[in-house]
Amino acid sequence: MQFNSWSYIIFLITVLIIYYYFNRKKQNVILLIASYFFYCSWDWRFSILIIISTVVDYVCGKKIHSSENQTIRRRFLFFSIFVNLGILCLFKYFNFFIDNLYLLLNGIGLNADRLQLHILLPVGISFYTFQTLSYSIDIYRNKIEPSNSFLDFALFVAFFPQLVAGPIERAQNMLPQISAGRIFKLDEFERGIWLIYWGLFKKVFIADNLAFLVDSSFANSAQISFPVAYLSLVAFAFQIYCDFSAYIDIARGSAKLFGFRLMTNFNIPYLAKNPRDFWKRWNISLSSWLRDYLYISLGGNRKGKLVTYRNLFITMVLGGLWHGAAWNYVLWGVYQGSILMAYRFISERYMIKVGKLISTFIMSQFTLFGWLLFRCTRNEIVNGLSVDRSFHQIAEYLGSILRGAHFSPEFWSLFQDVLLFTGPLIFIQVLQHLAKSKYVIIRMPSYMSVPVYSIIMFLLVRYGVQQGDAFIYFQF
Amino acid sequence: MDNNTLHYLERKAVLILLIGLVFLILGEIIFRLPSAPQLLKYVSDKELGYRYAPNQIYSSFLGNYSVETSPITIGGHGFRNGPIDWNRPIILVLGSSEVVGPGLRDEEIWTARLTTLLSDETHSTPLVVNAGVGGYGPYHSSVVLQRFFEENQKPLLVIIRVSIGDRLFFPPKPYELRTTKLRKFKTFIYRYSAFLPFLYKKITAQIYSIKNAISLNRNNKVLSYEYEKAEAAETMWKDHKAYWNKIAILCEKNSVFALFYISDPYGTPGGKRLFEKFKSHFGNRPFVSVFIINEKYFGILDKNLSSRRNEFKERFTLGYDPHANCLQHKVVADTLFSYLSLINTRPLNFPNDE
Repeated sequence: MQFNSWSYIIFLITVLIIYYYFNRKKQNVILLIASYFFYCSWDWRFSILIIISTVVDYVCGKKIHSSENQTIRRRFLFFSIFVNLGILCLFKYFNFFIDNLYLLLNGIGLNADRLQLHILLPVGISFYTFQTLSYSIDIYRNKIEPSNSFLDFALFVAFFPQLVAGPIERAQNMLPQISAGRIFKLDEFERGIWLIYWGLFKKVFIADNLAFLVDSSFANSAQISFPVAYLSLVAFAFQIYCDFSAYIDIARGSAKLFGFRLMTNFNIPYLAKNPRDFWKRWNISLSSWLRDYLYISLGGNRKGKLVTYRNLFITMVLGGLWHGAAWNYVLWGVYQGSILMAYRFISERYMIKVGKLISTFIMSQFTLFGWLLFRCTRNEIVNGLSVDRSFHQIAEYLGSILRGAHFSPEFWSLFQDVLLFTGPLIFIQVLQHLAKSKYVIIRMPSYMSVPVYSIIMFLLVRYGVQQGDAFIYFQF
Repeated sequence: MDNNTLHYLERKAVLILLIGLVFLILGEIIFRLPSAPQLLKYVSDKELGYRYAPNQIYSSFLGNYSVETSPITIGGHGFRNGPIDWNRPIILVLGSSEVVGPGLRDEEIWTARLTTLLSDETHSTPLVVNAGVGGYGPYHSSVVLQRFFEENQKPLLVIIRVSIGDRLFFPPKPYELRTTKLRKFKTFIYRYSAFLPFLYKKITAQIYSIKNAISLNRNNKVLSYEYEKAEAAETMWKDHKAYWNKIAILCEKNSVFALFYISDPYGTPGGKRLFEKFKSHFGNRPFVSVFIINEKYFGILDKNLSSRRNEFKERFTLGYDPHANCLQHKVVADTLFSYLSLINTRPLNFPNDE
């Protein structure tokens, strides 16, 4: 059930009506049933994994909290980590490791029979496993107390707006909202509607239309000229931002309709002035999770500079691998880790003052290159094995530099399209940035807001793609 | 509900009405600009229900009426061609939207490619006329062919695309041919508004999607692929046999060769059954040939039907829409060209241009 589908809208309206008919205790039950219904609409078999994760972490949380013996506490924590990461690794990375192992063995002349396991990737597995892990770890660190209600905890794990693609919520934010009474507020409801409207616009008008342009360029990566290649990369940067942030907006908007506040996951990331700033603006829930539960667990910046760089690097590489079981994601993680280390090294040693505009522009170029690594995914079947050809595609794309910098009619046509699809986004985001509020349009007087709403609606109706791709981050 | 809430809701209701009004005005202005997409115009027809209005260039909207295609040229006959030069040897192609080829440029459709291939091969200039119309079934094809013969426009060869996908394209019902008040209102809107026809089609497409979304019948025919089964082919044969027969008789009377090609791109039991039916019924008739374009021509070799279906959808459709893409049209043109060469029909003995 995609967020940009009539099925979801009908589902949401139905759940809302039933939800507000009942009192708080029953509301949580309704949401839990709705959440499992939502997840089972993708594939009911994988709901078993969520149930396992829920039960294991609920029990482990209780045991960790109730025990004073550090060894026992650690054992339950490791058990929780083992189950959650085990499920994640099995379903997400097993085929990747087996394929590469057999490639390696074949490469050194050891012809082994490949183990065939057709493992499907459950939707949202990367998100809910991290979410439940954060619960166990926070209890171990004595940051929170375990939930006394299994029902409330189950809802925390499976809450449908953020189940399949985040944001990765923390128990200290969600559990109090789940257990407390929620009051219907008209202004919050209106904000929720706006977020859903804006999210749909970003996905259906911007991201899916840009996808056509980007896919065409990447399919012809060996032929396109440098200006077309560069502009296509810019288009992809907007595509992935709009696609992911659209999902988050719809998720947050849907949650608001039920009286919940989910965390912000984006803060105009392409205005970042440096790599560290970028990760405070992009996929904030993931970057903060990696910081709190991986980087700090490895030692953070407390054990000297070399160890700090090592920890940064490992965190970003694993962050890249989290996105997908493919070498281009690993390479992307290596790249992100490298520029973070480089930035830290330079900023600690040299006092270089660069204007905001210049630093934003420079950072945007680094981001674009990173997106090239992220986007280039190509697989070929060679002797029954799936062989990653992403690096070939990256090389082909970079080869466009050698194919000349002429501004062909193809470039201007692409430029026109990119401007059409990104113009409204830039306009609205500038307004939001200046007003320091995502809800600036709601607060505008009618003579200003009516044209904005009407133009958004017209663009949605005229250009909105309805049979477009699934949300990009659903595949993670 | 207190007064504040009531006032709030009243203000929002007025806001929504204003937004709707500005939206309609904006749409009307933009759709009157020269760069606005031209929507397909139809004319009513007492036998067929509708035809494409002749001499227009329009844009199709696929993917649930959301993705604008390249412009499509409709010629003087109301078909996807430029003017038909009857001095050239003509190959007439009949069928539904998969013959029309929405989503592709005029030069990308398989009939254009077949023209090129035949021209190269025969050193002559045969013209493949694309007489496909979206929503036309076997009945409509028989009427179109009859009209061609009645106008003394005799092609050298008639190719009829047969597909289980056209099984629901029945002759128009009497009430569909009547000029109702609703139809008059629609004609009025089409005449005076540029945006409302687009909006109407968009809303109609959404209603279809909403009905599918709320349908609790998970065994509905589209989702469960009932149409791939042999039984569906038997039903289709029973429903439309008379019209295919009429086409064959028309061709025989006029000494025109007829080629029925069954489109079964990923090899279904239904496609095979349809082919068997055609073979047994038309196989021995001198002016009729039957051919199937199945999975082997598309290079889809998986033994599993579900895998073949998925591969077909991914490689040979538009992605955002189930209509054929460039690659599928190329395969169809190349395969038909090879078949025509193999059976060595009259079309390949075209008289050279003097």
